[in-house]
Amino acid sequence: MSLFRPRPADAESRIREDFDREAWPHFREITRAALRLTRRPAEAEDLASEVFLQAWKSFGKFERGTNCRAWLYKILWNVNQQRSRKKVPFTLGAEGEALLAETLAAEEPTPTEIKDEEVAAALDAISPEHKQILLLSDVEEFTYKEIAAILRVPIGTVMSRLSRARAALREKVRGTAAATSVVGNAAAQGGTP
Amino acid sequence: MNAALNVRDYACAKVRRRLDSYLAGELSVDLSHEMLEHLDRCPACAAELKARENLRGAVRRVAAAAPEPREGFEAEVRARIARTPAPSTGTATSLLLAASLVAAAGAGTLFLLSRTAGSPATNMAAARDAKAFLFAALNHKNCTLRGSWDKAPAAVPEALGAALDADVRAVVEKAAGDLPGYAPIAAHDCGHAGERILHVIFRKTGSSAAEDLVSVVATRPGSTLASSVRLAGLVSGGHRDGLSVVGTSAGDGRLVFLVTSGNDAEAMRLGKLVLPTLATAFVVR
Repeated sequence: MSLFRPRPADAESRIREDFDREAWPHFREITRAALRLTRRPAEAEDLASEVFLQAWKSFGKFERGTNCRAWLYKILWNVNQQRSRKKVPFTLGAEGEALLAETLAAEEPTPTEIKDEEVAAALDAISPEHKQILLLSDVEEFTYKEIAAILRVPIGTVMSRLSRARAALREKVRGTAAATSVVGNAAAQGGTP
Repeated sequence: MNAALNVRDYACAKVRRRLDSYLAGELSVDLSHEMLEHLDRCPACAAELKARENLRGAVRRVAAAAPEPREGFEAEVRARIARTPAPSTGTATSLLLAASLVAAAGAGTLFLLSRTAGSPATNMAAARDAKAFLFAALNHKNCTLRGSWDKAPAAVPEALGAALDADVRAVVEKAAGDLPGYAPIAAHDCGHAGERILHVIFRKTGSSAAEDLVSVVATRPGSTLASSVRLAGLVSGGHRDGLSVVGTSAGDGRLVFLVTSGNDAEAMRLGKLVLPTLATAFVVR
C-alpha cells in the first residue's frame, strides 16, 4: 500500500481557492514593492514571481484568516535579503543602532522645501536596509510590531533602526537641498547684471 | 536664532526623538498629549514636525510613482503556480508557528473589516478604513480607559469645559442630547499618530464602570487620516479586544467615530443616535 495517496481533487481546488482569496489580491502591491526595492523592472518581476511561488509552496503553513499581506511581505523580505546579501552586506547590531539613535537629537532641522526627485535620489542613496525599513513603515504602513515580525528582530531594534534610517534620509535630503540651493544661488547671481 | 539651537533644550530633544514615532502612531496617548502640549508652545519643534510630515508625504509620493506591473505578468505567474502541485495543509503545529507569528502580529490592523478578495484599489481602501477604525479604538483604549474621569457626569456646559471652539462646542452640546442614558463627562483636544482630534467622553448615567464609557472621536479639518478615507453612511468597524467602533464621514470630510466596550450591535445603536447629528453639523464653512 502506498503511503502517498493522491490528494482529492476537491481538496486541491479548495487550497487554490484559499490562495486566490488570501494571496492574489496582494500580487500587484507585492510586485510594486519589489520594484521599489530593486528599481529594475526585470529584477522586480523575478523577485515578485519568486515570492509568490514560495508563498504557494508554503501556503500550508499559512493560518487562514490571519494577515496574509504581512506574511507575503515577510517572504518578500527574506527572498530579497538572500539576494542582496550577496551584493551588499550591511548589518548594524542592535547596540550600535541604539548608540547611533542617541545622537539624533542634535541634528539640524529638516528642510521644509523638498522636491520629490530629491527624495527619490535620497532614498536611493541610503543603505538598502534603511530603505527597506522606511518603506515598510512609511509606505506599506506596517506597525512596529508587524515590522518586528517581518524582519524577525526585536521591536526595540525596529525603533532604533527606523530612527537611524530616517536620520540618514534627512541627512541626504539636507545635502541635496543645500547643493541645490548653492547651485540656485550661483545661477541667480550669475544671471544678475 | 535658528531652530537647531532649541534642540539643546532637554524638552525639545526629548520631543524630537519621539517625533517620528508620534507621526507613525506608535506613541501612547499620554505621550502624545505631552507632545501636543510642547508643540503648542514651541514653534521650532512644530516646524520640525511639519517638515518631517512633508518628508514622509514625499516618500509616499515617490513610492506611489512605482509603475503598475507589466500587463500579462500576473497571468505568467499564475500559470507557473497552476503547474506547481498544491502544498500540503496537514502540517504539524510547529510548522505553523513561524508563519502564524507574523500573521498574528499583523492581524490586528485589519481586524475590523471582513476580508474579501477584491481589486487592489478596493483592498487598499479597506486597509485605510481599517486603519482609521483602529485609530479610533486606540484612542478609546489609551485615553478613555486609562484616564481619570469624574465619576458623576456634570451638566453638559461644565463637562465640556472652555477648551472647545464655540462652533464645535455647539455641535457637541447638540449631540449630547441624542444619547439618552449617557452624559458627557469630558471633552478635550487629543492627539495620536500626528492627528489632532476632538475627543468627547460619555458615561452611562448611574454607572462608574469603565466599560460604560463611550468615546466620540472626530478628526480635525485638514486631517491626513480623513483625506484618504471616505465612509459612506454609518459603517461598522467591527470588534476587537472588547471594543466596538462605528464611524461616518461628516459634511466637511472629517471622520467621526463612536467607540464602546459593548458589542457591534450596541455600537451601531449608539452610533445611529449620535453620529448623524455630528456628521451633519460639521459642514464645510
